[in-house]
Amino acid sequence: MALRFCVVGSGPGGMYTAKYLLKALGDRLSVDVVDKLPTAYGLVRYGVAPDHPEVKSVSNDFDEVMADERVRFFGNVHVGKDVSVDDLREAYDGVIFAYGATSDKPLGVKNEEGTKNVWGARAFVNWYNGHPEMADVAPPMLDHESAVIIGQGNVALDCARVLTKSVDELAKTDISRAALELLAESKVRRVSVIGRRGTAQAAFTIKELREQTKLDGVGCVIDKDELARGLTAASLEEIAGARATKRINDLIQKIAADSEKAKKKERNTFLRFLLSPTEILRDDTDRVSGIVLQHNRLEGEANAQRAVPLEGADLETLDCGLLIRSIGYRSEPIPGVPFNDRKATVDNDHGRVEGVKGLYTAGWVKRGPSGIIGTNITCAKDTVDSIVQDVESGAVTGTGQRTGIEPLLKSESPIVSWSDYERLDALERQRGESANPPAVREKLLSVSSMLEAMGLPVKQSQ
Amino acid sequence: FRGASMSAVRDMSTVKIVFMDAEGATETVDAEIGDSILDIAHEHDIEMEGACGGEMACSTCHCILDEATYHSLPAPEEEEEDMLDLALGLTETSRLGCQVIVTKDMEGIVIRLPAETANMQ
Ligand SMILES: Cc1cc2nc3c(=O)[nH]c(=O)nc-3n(C[C@H](O)[C@H](O)[C@H](O)COP(=O)(O)OP(=O)(O)OC[C@H]3O[C@@H](n4cnc5c(N)ncnc54)[C@H](O)[C@@H]3O)c2cc1C
Ligand code: FES
Repeated sequence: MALRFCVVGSGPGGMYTAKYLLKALGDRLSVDVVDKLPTAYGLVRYGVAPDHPEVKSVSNDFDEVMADERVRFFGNVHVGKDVSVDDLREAYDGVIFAYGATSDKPLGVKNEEGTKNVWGARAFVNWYNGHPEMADVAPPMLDHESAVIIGQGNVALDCARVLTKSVDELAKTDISRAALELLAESKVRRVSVIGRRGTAQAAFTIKELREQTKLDGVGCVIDKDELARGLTAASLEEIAGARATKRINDLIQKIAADSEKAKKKERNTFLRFLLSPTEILRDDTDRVSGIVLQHNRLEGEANAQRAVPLEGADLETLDCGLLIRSIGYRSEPIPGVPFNDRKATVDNDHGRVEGVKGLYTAGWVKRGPSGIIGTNITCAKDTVDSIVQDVESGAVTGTGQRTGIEPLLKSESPIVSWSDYERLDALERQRGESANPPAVREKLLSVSSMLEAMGLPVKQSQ
Repeated sequence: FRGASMSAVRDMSTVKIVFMDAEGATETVDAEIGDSILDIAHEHDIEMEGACGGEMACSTCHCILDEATYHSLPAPEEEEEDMLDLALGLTETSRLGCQVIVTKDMEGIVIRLPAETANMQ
């Protein structure tokens, strides 16, 4: 009997699961891919930086999956709101949750709440990538010379790059046009990217760091003392032990050595180390005016070093008019799916949702918000292996009774099919082509404008 | 070996190369000179991902060459080395399959595919 599966979320986690499921179970299978947005591919569209089109080319592979006749797309369907998990369990032989991470981790310092122009990286990235969630939100204020980013992963560097890169370069990309206009007026000249630990522990990867050193008109600065303080015996052991850490350390040494020259550039990125935020300062309009930082030192063994406060050091205050916290995305629970609050992932064993037959998970919501797109391939294959085992053992069978999602959907909000999405895609590309200068794509910025462009009815609530 | 392609008359524009997966299973294929290892793998349904389609943006085409072949090739560019830093199970003779072009000197070489395990962090 044919098997009907539903994949919740069309990001890399969901799309690779669909791809390998089709490979493994072949003709016995049909897959419905559901996404709460009218657009497909999750963070490929709304996470990956606009100036990294080469990364976005993973979507060519996903296009092939979507074009497969066994696959259907249901966009603009919010699982947990428009349909419940219980309904999906009735309608499908198996459901795979790959809905990613829809919030981010707070710093937990004084004045984080209620201070204006303090942004979570997720919201900031959503803003420049034109996520419809930002359609009605006041944009970041870029009228102050100094911006601070807390966190040193690739997302932090993406934000730093977008804030410092030449607007002429960004104009050619699929960046939100609204964001581009604001960036063109930006007064930001200094972006400080702050890490708790030393250079050897920073989470960014070499490609992204090197890119920041090669931007036109932008100097990349590392303080020699901070570098030296982070290079404890344990750090040197870490560096010697891994090729990637060693190569990035070489680059960091070079950046530090060239820093005096770099400082003379028009705009600067300061990579700062061994600092923890303790308090956000605000002015009398409740807008962020600075951040108080505590100096740290490293303690512990190689690969397990912690940042502890540096005894006797004064606090440092950095003035800024924009603060971005970039210390990690975070997944949220959907009612009906067992969720581990501490890990912020769906409770699972190799992708099998704990305790509920026929439910699976993949991507960030399965393993936490880290890794590159390729990591989702191994992750999806692991989940597909579990599904195949369950099908072979008879634990999951095709009942032939499953209706799929259509009968469950209320008519108020239109469903976006793959051909609807393709029309939007073509229109956005065409708008990009005719922009001045020509761009890869000009995104539509709200759900209602997208639905309208697809020729679908738009309700007030959209 | 596939079909009767070991016949005496061989097309001079191809060489035979062997793909070996992490479990040691091998498959020998006719590889067009001038194609990349990734192209060849895709053409013959070898399990090499190549998620970004050869744009040097994913490292999922990581493969391992034998020492002699590795050293006979021009050294990888900085950009390729940067991407390789993210590959799992990296070795001294690892390359990105999308960046290695098949030459006539590659007759009979074995290209190993890395194990996929432990990539779940
Ligand atoms: C800012 C940023 C930049 C990145 N840059 C790179 C890069 O350059 N290179 C790289 O390799 N990796 C990059 N990554 C990592 C990569 O994007 C992730 O590994 C990958 O997207 C995770 O896939 P996912 O499917 O788990 O989640 P997502 O891509 O987030 O997909 C989840 C999907 O689920 C949908 N969804 C959410 N809730 C619901 C619901 N209730 N009902 C229905 N649908 C729902 C969402 O709309 C979304 O489409 C980046 C990540 C970020 C955050
Ligand atoms: S295919 Fe992506 S790096 Fe080679």
